[in-house]
Amino acid sequence: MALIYPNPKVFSEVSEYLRKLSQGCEGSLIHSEVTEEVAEDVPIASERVEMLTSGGIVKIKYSEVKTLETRFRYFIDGVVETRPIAKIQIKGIEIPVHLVTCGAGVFERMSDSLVRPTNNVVILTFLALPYSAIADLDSSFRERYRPQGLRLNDLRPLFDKLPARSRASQYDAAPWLWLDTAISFSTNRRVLEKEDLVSTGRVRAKARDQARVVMRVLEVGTLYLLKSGGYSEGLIAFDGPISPLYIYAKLVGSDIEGLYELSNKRVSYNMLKDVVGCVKRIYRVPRDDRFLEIFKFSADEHAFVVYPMSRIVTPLRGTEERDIEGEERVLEDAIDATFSAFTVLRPELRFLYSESIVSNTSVTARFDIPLPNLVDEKSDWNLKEFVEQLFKDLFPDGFINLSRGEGVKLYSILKAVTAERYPVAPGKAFTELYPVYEAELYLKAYTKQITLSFLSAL
Amino acid sequence: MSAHEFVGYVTVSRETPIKASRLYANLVDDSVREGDVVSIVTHDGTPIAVGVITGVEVISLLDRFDQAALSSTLSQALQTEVPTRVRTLRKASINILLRLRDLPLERAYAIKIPNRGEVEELWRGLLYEERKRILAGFLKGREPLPAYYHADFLLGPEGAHLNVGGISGLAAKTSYLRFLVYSLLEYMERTNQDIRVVVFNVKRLDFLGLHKIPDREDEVNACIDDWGRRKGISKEVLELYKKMYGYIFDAVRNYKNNIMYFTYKDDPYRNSEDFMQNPQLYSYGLLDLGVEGLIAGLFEEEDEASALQINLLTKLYSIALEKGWSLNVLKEFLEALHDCDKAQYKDLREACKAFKNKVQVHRETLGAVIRRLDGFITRAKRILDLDEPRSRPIRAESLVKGINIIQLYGLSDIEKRVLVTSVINEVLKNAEEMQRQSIDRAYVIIVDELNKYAPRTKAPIKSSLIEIAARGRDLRTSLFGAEQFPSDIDGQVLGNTGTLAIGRSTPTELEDRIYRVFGELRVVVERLSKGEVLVYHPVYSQPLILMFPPPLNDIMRECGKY
Repeated sequence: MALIYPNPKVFSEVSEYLRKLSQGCEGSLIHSEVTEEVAEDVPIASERVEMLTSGGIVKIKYSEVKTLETRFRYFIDGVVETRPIAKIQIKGIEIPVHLVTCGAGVFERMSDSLVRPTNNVVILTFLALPYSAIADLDSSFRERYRPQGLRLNDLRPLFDKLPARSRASQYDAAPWLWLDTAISFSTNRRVLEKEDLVSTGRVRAKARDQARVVMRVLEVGTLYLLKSGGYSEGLIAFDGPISPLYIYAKLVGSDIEGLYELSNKRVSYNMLKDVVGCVKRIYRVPRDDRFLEIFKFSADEHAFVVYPMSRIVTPLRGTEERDIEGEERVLEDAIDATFSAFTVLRPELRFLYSESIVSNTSVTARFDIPLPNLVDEKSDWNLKEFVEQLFKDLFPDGFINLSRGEGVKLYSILKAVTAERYPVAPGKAFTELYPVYEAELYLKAYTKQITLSFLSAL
Repeated sequence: MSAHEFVGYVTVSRETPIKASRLYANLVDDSVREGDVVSIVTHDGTPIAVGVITGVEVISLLDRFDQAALSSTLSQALQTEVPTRVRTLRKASINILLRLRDLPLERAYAIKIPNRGEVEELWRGLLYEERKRILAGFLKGREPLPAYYHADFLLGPEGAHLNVGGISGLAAKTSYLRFLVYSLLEYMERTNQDIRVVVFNVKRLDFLGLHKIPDREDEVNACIDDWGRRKGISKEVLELYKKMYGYIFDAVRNYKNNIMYFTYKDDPYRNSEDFMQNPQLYSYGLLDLGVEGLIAGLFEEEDEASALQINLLTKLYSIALEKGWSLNVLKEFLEALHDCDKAQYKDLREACKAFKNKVQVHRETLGAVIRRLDGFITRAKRILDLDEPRSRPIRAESLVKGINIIQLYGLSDIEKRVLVTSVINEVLKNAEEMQRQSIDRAYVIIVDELNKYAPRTKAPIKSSLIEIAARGRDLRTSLFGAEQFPSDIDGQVLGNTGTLAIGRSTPTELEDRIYRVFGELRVVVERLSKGEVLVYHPVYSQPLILMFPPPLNDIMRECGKY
């Protein structure tokens, strides 16, 4: 059963506020079918980056995939929908107000091989408006139109502040939520000034980007919920790069704050163990001859090229994260504790769907494997030097050394990845794991239902 | 109400909107199929409507065939395990049979197998008067929930006639008619109506031995068990049959002595009590046949007879009626018409001369009629009494309230034709008389292999059947016909038939326009099981698949104890 915030019973209060706002500010309510996410560009450009070291090659015979030492059991995904719901006029400037519905959840592949949602699914609905910037533009707005609901920016860490499932009375009494998009949700820094309000595109982009950050926080939060209870052995496929885990941990819960900058080794180890980041859109590719190994087709074996990640990160484009001070440092430190494996997940499809391939990177997937998957907790896995030495030991001649326990574990995880090539996920047929596709479908259906129930109360 | 009782959830989307007569559901129970009747309930389990599933589609979450194929066959070719089963959804379209509550369908939440109470509510809505209910069969389900016909729409005056089609050997046509015969007995007993069911038995033992029913229900059940064991039928199914017969057993037992058998003297089955109890022998003299019967005997098709022949026969018959002639006398008279003086008897010679003075007789016409009469007498000898003007015909007065089985099996086509024509004319005349006297009596005439008697092409007794089809509703005379292919039946006969039932049939047959009444459910006809028919009945807002048990007389016979 999903946790839904706020209780849909309070939707009528939100619509009452919206009506008051639109009437008082010469505005109007909008019934838009198009969300900000739909309007977003889909980039295909890629960037080659220099590597400090050549990649390590892992080749897995398909016949070996029949028996797996470890397999994916959980799948975590998130969705977000940022929908213009009203526009208001303040001193002649038209300002959009958005309704955001985002959700994330843990899905489990059961013994019958079907993927089902677990109890750890969270759906959040809130209004998003650049409140502080508007109030600076028109001081009377602060008194007359301050939303009565809870400001999401004040609910940090989110999973500490949201009422728990067990506290039903608190949940029922919880007011509706809104987000001040003029203030960064992650840093609490001001990101929109009153002068920015005239740039409607920037206002919209901020709403969309911050909504996305909230979704990322929910994704990390549902992993946190899983790890806090009910987790059984099995790999956890985390949709997207592993970096949000490091960045947003402190926004999720005080218990896992130590994951930020890997400052608490024990907490970080426990959170990262068994988690694999599944990156389906690659923007940066290594400038390395060995990387090309993944494009050589073989009917018998599957190729991965592994790097200790220090430079190859998915740029956090289009999100608020760009505004985070010291972002690069955080990412580099964190990524150092990770091996990333590139692969053409479904090489056969390259020949079948050759007409739809726009670039080589579009068929390439990346799997981020935090070191707690490979090494003992007591090791210095969080130190850069350790990671570099481990990589050298695992790939002494460019190929994986299976005489080491860490090598065997890495090999087993990559075998588990290979096993996930089928079924093919529609839409992102080359790079997405099928269970993640089902998880996304479920979440989209759920968030859509919540949005519709909100709109019907309008 | 707990979620495990739900077999699906109502699913509204732009593609699948809720309409006044239709909604869609995502099925979670694999056993639910097209034709199943379901209750549509709110969150708290309050039933708001009853509907019938008209279509089930299994939808994959994969968009395209190639994706699905790659996910199965290719991965197998590469010897790779497929760890995730692609989720499939079972999309059901549901047509509303009846709204039970004045709640908007938007409140619909889940669907479930209806319970007895909900089915009773359904019938209260569709067919309020209990005394007008005739058991039609049972709704598909885990326990037999009864379905009914409205007596006024089956036996008149609102509507009449029933037709059952379906390919042979799949226990749909005759078996269903046999079940309906018992059902009519139950209806008669419950309502104390005067109904006379006239059944023409055309195939060996179909309608014979209907009276061979034990007095106790447990004996019937023991026989069903014994029979089922030998046939390898599961216990659950046998229990279902027993429960079905539980609905009608009392009436069948009480009425078993009101089953009358009529047969001809050479019928090999007439001497065994296993097949017939106290059968009445029938035979027809010239004056019993009526002029229609005589013409039916002489000509295979009605318009095969020329105007001169009809004129001649009509005039001859009126003289025969006046003089009390037998068939032999008529034959002799016809032969004498060649030369009146050669007639053996004086009165015949005189009649012959008098006839010639009045009627101009062409030699060719005379010759043709004589040849046909010779043929008729030779080929219909089992039912004809040549020496007596009047013999032992089946008269309306001899038909009992209850079931009247008329044996046709073993007779030639010409004999069947004459007999069926004669009985139908007799029934129609009596029905008119009853109407004149304001006596409430209904007739049901059951004709198996109706295509032989009322085909689309010409046939000798078709006009009688068309007359029943057209006037039966008013005269409370209902024709229950059965045949493999209803599309072979004359349009006027079928067009007047209010209730259509079809067992499993062929795709080509189902292309005929007569099957349009079954709407989307037409597609299920190809997959119906033994003992299932899809039924269109005027009071149903949607066609229904009904189940019925195997014929009791077959079970008793094979059981060997009764």
